[in-house]
Amino acid sequence: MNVFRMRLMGAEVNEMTRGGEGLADAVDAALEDFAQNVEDTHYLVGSVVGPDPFPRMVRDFQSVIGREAREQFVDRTGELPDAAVACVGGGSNAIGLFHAFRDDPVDFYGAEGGGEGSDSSRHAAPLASGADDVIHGMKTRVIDEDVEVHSVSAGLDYPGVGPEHAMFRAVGRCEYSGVTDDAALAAFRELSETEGIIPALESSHGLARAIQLAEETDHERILVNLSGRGDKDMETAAEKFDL
Amino acid sequence: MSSGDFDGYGGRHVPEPLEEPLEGLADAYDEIGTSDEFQADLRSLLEEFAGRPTPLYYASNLSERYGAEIYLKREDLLHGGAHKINNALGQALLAKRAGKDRLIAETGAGQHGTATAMVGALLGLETEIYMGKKDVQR
Ligand SMILES: Cc1ncc(COP(=O)(O)O)c(C=O)c1O
Repeated sequence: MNVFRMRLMGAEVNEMTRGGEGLADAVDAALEDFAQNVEDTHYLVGSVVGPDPFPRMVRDFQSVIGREAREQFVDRTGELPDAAVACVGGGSNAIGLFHAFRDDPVDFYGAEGGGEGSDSSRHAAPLASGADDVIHGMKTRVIDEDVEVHSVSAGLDYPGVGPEHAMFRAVGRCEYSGVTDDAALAAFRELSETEGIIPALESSHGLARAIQLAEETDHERILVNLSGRGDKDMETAAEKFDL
Repeated sequence: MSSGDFDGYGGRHVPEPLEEPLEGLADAYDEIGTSDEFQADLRSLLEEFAGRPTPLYYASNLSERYGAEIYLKREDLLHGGAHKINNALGQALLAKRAGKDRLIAETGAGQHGTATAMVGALLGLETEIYMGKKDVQR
């Protein structure tokens, strides 16, 4: 559906058949195109990843999320949330939410694509389980070489992560963990059934983490970034659920 | 501290031919992207094209079930269905002001590609998207 939408709006869509045929390979191809056409072309990087200035520029553009949310939260409750939670692919919706709260006593939680488990050989959780490395022009955390990058959600299916998250992890400002495919799918279904809102599979990772926190910690007010809607995920969901 | 440095993470680890265009982009961002005029134009587009501000929604049923107040920032209600449009609008507006006439982007779930196609059409910029075959199929 998304490919058709893009073409309908006049964009050319190139299917990449190299490498793992995923997001990291699409980044490689775009970087090559950029290098050859720098005069007239802007590479519109989609997350807080890549070489400077992308991580800080994309963060600034996404920070509107947290600025609005902080004001709305205080207006509504008179207080700040105890925790802010978001899924982390490259990390733009998470940084966008967190940034306005960075100097506040608000705990940050990042939910990575845990795939089959962040200690398994198929996941996309370089912060929960990975090492320092260089990828796509940035020094950051990358999944280990013997791990196959995998997440049920295409938007989290990336072997690296934005460098600011690597820093947040190193200094302990945010706690990162992998949410498995199964846990994300369960949260996807639960929000649909309880609230009548179908979340994106990516966002469902953040939701699953928020539900865990509600059950296991004494956080009373939890703010979650519902980064996208689930319409694009209907086929994947239909394969998983027997409805 | 160089501006792309996050306590030793980040930086600009690229082949030499990319150094200069990235420096140019960083300059354009620092000069144009932070100006009042640019910010005002971006704000209008975020409101009128993308649908900001998005609501903060109290998920009462979920909250009752788990015994904590759970609030959702509804970025799913934005044009295109994801937060990606916030960034796509910002960068495309900057690219246009910097005199570029072509946008390229990578996409995984297709959400960022969709956001890029939307702003490309809006601002009259040629747009090309790269997407892995595995992701096209799912
Ligand atoms: C709805 C949604 N959420 C999250 C992501 C992951 O990106 P990021 O971590 O940069 O927010 C994507 C990427 O495609 C997405 O479509």
